[in-house]
Amino acid sequence: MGAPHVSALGFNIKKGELWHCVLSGTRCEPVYVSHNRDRFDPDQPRTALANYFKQTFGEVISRTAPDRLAYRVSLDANSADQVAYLTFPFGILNLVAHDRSLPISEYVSQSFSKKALGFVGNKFEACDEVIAGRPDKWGDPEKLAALAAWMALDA
Amino acid sequence: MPDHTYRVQPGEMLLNKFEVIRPLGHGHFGEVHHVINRPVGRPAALKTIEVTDPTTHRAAIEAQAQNLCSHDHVVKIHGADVINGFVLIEMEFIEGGSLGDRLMQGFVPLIDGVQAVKEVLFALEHAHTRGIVHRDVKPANIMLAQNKAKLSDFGTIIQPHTGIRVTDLFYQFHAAPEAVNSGEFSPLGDVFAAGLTLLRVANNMPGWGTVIDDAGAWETDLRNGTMARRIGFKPYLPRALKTILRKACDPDPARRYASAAAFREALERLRLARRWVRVSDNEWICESTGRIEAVRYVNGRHPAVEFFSGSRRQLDLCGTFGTEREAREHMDRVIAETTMGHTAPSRRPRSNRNGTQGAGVSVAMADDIS
Ligand SMILES: Nc1ncnc2c1ncn2[C@@H]1O[C@H](COP(=O)(O)OP(=O)(O)O)[C@@H](O)[C@H]1O
Ligand SMILES: [Mg+2]
Repeated sequence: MGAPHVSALGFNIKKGELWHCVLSGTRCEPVYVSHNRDRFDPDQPRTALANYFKQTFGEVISRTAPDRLAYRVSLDANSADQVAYLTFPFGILNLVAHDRSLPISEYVSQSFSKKALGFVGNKFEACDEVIAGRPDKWGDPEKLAALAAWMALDA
Repeated sequence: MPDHTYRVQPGEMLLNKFEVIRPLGHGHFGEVHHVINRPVGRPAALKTIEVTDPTTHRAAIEAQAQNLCSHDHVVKIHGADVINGFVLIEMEFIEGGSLGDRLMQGFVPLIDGVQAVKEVLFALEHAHTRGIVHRDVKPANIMLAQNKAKLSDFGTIIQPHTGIRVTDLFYQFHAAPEAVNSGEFSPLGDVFAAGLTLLRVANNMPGWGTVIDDAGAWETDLRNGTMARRIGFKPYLPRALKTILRKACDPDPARRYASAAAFREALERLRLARRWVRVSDNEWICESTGRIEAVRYVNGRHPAVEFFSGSRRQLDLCGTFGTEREAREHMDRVIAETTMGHTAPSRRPRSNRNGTQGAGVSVAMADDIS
């Protein structure tokens, strides 16, 4: 066995759900470590929502102890309320990364390309085919978190 | 209560650094004073407790303080000193007092209580991940800073010589049955205590009142973990909250929320919307999407309940009733249901017996009485 591989923690947000996924290994040989979902009330006041994300990002990072962070920012927001829960949280994640001196990378869905990750076919199917030890059943929101983590692994 | 307190007087200077301003309160371990740490010019709360082995105790407190340092929802410990067999704990001074104090001062809206407990559950999750159990979660240990709740007194329950022991039932109303019966403190015990704390806040119970008045029957409930059942729910609490509280306060640890995080997530999904304030037995008020709403019980030959949104009467929620009791039940139900959800209530209240009128017209038909 060589030196232990770095681990990357990826985040993805949809309405009311914060998904994360931890991968280790390399871009060519990503290995699944864990994933989970934290639910939130998207209608709560902005300040409480901001605090929710600060606390939750902090706990997830402490628990999974990754070497680097990644996230997929959704470009689907088309109202201030949607911006508040789809986009603002990643500003907070960047601040948490800054406080903890963790490298962080930003992606959009288009970043998860065949060229970047070297798969053939569809990116969601690629998660099933390429990521070693992945769960039997997992959905697209958690795969988007996994794809962000995957991108952050070393080539 | 025996007096083991190290006598601290306002104006006094302790250890050449703490200038005592005034007492803030006392608990079962000792007293808390507002002080100024002169060398660093910092206002602080100084807690004085007597323990068998102050040096070990200080070390334990400092280790925990290190471990939990600077969590947003934990009262910061600046340091600890030993003096004459006492430990002095210098804490962040929190002007707002505790949630226990708030309950004493007046009605605490459910949405505020839930928010405070959610924040405390973040602190517990954080502590549990680090192998630290609080053991004494209760309204008096939830401090209300400017706009956040902070849990205090982590670990102060570690064998204080003159403080409470697990067997001192009288001071452990929030303790889980496994803690009461076998001294077993775990994260699940903290979940239980947080649940009972939220029940007290939701019910607006500043003290224990008649719950512990009678000839010690409460002791059995404490040992059986059935204090929550003994307390019961106020009729204006939303059903979804009651379901959550039952699970958090389940006597069987295996049936509780498995973690502070799971409990918090359940509260997160409640989606409380209206911040109802109980003004009197007959009136509730809140502000919802920029409008003042009010629910009133109106006495008369046909007792009535009125729901106003601004100056508009919301007919589907109003009603007249055959008896006062029916009217009050209706009012409680309206509060419980409209506490949840962000849109105007559109659900019909349950059937209105005795041939009285109202309580059944659609929302769209609100009439303007101004
Ligand atoms: N950090 C603090 N800042 C301001 N007031 C405090 C602080 N800690 C405690 N107090 C006040 O002192 C009182 C007594 O606290 P404590 O000795 O912990 O007793 P208990 O928690 O058993 O009520 C609290 O109820 C609160 O009003
Ligand atoms: Mg206390």
